[in-house]
Amino acid sequence: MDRLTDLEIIESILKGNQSDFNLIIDRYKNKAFSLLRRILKNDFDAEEVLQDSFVKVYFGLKNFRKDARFSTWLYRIVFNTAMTKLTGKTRKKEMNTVSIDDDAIKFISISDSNQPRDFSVILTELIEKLPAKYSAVIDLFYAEELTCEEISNITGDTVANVKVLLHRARKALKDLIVQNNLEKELL
Amino acid sequence: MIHLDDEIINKYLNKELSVIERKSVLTHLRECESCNKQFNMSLNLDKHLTKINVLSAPASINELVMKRIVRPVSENTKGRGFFVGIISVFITIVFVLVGYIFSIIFAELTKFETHEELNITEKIKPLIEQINAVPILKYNDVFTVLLLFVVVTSGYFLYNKMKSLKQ
Repeated sequence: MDRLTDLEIIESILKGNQSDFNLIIDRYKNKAFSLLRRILKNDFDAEEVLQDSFVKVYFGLKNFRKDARFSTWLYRIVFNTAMTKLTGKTRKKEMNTVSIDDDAIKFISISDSNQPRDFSVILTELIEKLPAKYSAVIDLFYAEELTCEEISNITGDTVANVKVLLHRARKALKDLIVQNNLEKELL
Repeated sequence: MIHLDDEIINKYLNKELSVIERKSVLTHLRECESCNKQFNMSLNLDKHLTKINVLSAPASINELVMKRIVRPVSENTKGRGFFVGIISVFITIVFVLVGYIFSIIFAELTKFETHEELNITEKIKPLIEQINAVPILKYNDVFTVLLLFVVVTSGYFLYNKMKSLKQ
């Protein structure tokens, strides 16, 4: 049996089949949670915002324009809800100080462990050490496999700014890898 | 010799360079060890990033979201008619009560202003007879008590409904 498209599921929900929203949640919960975890840096806030985002998506379904891509629309809601959460908390300072011109990432060491760990796990930790917008762009580009144009639709930045953010995020990540003497993993 | 900077390497990785630019980058990489090292680091980082983990959302998320979605909708559809009905009755009764109180006050004032006209009773006699012809207006006290009872009951239902919606 063919996999149902997002639009088919949405139409079914709008006809009154509320429980079909579970299919949307199942399809996007992990990716949305990854994005939120990388922006908000803790599980508790990420889970809370994930719930709020899905509720917003559900009640906003009737306003969803069918010609747009559903995943982009959903990620925009998730991203904006996360940003609202960030600006509403003490992390406001971080968001305000990090712009695309802010290149300075102070030295951050990842947790020491005697046990050898997989580099992908270390990389995941390092991404979370990046400022919110950098880790968001990294997540959207690599984990969600979105294009710079789609990311710009989600974050509200121009495509050029998204490219600059992506470039700065990669550079910051590379600097963190060098600072933690993990260069050999990349050679 | 001009070395490759991060911007050029990024553009190469993003496939934003022209064929000629790509060729010159590759030529330079063969000749320059430090640029080659930087390039390989960026290239490998890019490869590792394409494999970054998608984190797992908590298993309870479906249940929690569905609970928040389903509850208000079912309550709304079940209780909306009743709720609107109660509000309508409440507002109507308040208006009737206010009108009734004003009519009493107005009657009193009229009595005061026209106290010199001794034959006023004679003049309004037909009106009083008409009022008395309507049983509910004849028994003013019973009517007032009944109205108050309905207002209090409506208020009580309204309060409970608001409380349940807030939960």
